[in-house]
Amino acid sequence: MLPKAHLVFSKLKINLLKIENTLACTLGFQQHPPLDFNIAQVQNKSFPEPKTLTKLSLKELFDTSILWAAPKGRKTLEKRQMNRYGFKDQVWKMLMPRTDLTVCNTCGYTHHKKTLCGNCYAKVKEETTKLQDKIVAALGLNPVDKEVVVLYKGEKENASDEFYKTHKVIEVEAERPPWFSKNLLQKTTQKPSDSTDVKPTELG
Amino acid sequence: MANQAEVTKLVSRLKIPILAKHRRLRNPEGPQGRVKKIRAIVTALFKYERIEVYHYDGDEARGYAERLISDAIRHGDTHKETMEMADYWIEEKNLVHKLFKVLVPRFQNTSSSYTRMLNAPIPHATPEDSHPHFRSVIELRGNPFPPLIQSAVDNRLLIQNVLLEEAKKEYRAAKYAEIAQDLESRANEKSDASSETREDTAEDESQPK
Ligand SMILES: [Zn+2]
Repeated sequence: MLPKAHLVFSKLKINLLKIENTLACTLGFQQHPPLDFNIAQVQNKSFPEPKTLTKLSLKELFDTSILWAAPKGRKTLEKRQMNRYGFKDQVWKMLMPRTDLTVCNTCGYTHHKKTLCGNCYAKVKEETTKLQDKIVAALGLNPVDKEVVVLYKGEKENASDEFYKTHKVIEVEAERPPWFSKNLLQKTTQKPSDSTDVKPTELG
Repeated sequence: MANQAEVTKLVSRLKIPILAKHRRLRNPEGPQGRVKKIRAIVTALFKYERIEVYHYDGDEARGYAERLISDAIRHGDTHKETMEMADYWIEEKNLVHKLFKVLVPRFQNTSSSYTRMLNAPIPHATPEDSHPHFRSVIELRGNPFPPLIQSAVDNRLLIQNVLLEEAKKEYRAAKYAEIAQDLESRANEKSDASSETREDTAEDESQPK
């Protein structure tokens, strides 16, 4: 009688401890599992239940087993090599060194010979979209009848009134990027000077 | 024979290579969808002056844009057929004005093509012999955007450009100083003259009293 009562009490105690533990875990007071009980344990239920094996006859074994899709004939050496490496001019599976990459003259990144440099183009594209947004917002739906010119910070001082009349000037607050030069052959924003004297004589 | 028009002069000769057969640009809407796509690209090209589109669509639409500009230069805005064409292919009507008033003067005396087409960058891992859907950048020449292909000569920080810029500045400063001196001397002369005249008038005023 006495050992049985003892067993019941111990079970009760264990259950109470378990409840306390789970409560502590869910409320976030304690890590689960407690560090003292870090023992590897495998739940019995995770094992699949063993199937009862039935004896198969040889015919059944051949019909239902992995022997289904096994190759039955020998592949020739050519076929095997073709599957492994491919055909040189059609489907060549080996890694080959590229021959159509080149180095950008401006920034030094590599790019394909037939395409623009990715690094430079990303830079140009960002600036271009910025300008395009500004231009489109400035022009709106009005009929476009003047050539659009973009002037960066510190450039509009040089522009004459006549230039403003003949061009649609878009002013940008930012400094002109160093890689985006003013076109030296383009018509300048300044009036052509009619002076004939030449200054730079003893440069260097 | 004399009355027969020269065939080469009936249609503008474009300065870009054109395929012998048009591309179908296959899409769910059929041929009408193809026209729709080309109209959208031509409009965007005239609006933004530099766009990035799929190579096949872009190359097809580029010829239409070139033809429009070429016709506009040949016939002007009083020609009925040209105006109809421009009205059809350009969806936004304010850009029709741009075609005749901005692009015609810009391209009137050029010997090269009016648009430029370059291949957009592709990922490095693209196989060498593959034909993916390449993208192309099309732009109208003479646009105000930074150049797609940079040359070292254009860089503002290149030593020659820095020196030229400084030389220009120095020259300008010297010019301004000269002008300022000139103005000053003129002002002095004027003030001398005016003071003399004032004395004269003062004497004149004093005399009648
Ligand atoms: Zn680059």
